[in-house]
Amino acid sequence: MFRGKLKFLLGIIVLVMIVGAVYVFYLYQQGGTENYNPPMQKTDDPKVQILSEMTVLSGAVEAYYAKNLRYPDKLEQLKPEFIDKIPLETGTEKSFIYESDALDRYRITVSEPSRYGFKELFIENGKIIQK
Amino acid sequence: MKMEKSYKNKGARLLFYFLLISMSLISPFASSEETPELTNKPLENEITKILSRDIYCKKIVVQVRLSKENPNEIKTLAVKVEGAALGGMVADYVTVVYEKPVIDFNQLKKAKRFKIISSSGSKAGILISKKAIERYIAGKVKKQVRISIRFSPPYAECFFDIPVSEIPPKTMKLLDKYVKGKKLEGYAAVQFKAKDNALSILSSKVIVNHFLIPGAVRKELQNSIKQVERIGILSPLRYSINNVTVQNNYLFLTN
Repeated sequence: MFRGKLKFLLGIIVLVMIVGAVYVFYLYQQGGTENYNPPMQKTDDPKVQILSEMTVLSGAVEAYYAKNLRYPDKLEQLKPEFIDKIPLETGTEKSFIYESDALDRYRITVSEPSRYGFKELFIENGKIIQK
Repeated sequence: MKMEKSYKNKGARLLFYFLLISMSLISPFASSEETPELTNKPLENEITKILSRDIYCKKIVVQVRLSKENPNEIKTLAVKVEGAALGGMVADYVTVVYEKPVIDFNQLKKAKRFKIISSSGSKAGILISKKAIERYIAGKVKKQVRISIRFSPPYAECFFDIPVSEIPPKTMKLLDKYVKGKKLEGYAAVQFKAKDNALSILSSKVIVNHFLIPGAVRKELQNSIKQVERIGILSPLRYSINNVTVQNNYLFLTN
């Protein structure tokens, strides 16, 4: 009886040690210089994805304004200083529609808002409008 | 012969003056047709002069745009300050835009002070480059500490090589298991949060001496450090920073 309990206890200790060793090995393996990269940010929800892309674009336009005291005439002007590449609309891979009067107003519009469950979807002067 | 030459010279001179006068008459009409934008250069210059006295920076640009309906009303007033020190950090650009601002002209003319009494809205944007952040860190730590920054939106990546002697004991206690040798070498991917001009750092991934730091330890580490940086306000401009994003070349702070 006692021997059985001891065996069980030893078994648990060995198991905990193995799990611990595997975990330490995993942490060590994940700590190499090849893993010096930021965590992946992925979402399958196209609605979340499109809103995120529009927010990033709008932020870049606002940053362009902060530097130049005017909005860009076209989104391409944001590259490479404020954005690496201009994102395309998730799903349709179409370009976002961008309009600006350079000094007061800019608008980034989605070409097919119904695809994301909206009648209208755009960002105007940093404000998201979704109907 | 001499007479003839002088007549020729006189004619050429007359033709030149005629062309000059006609050009100067034509050009104002041409330009007014192109840009009906109303500005106020003397006011811009006055504000620039006053702000240059109050703010230590590389350059100040003031842009005053008047309302088309009422030229006595200011539509927008934008102030861009380049290379200004916000506390210990030097911001590449600080831009504040006031909509329909009411300027205290008494203070401006008499006391030579810039003051905005009210505005219908304002927008602030601060751009800080990675070089500015690295310079700021280098000024705060010892020479043996090596830290470099890379922006990978939405994260800022930090590569570090720090002697153990430079780590606070509280932090060291948490990282004790991962320290082998005399230094902490590794990587961190961080995000930023801003509220009421306070900038805080949130770590999303930390690697120290070839070990990925588990989430629970990372959170504990973050709570123990609680690094909050105050974003300096360039007086007399007023703004409250509540949003921060990492961009390709800049940390972009907005209100």
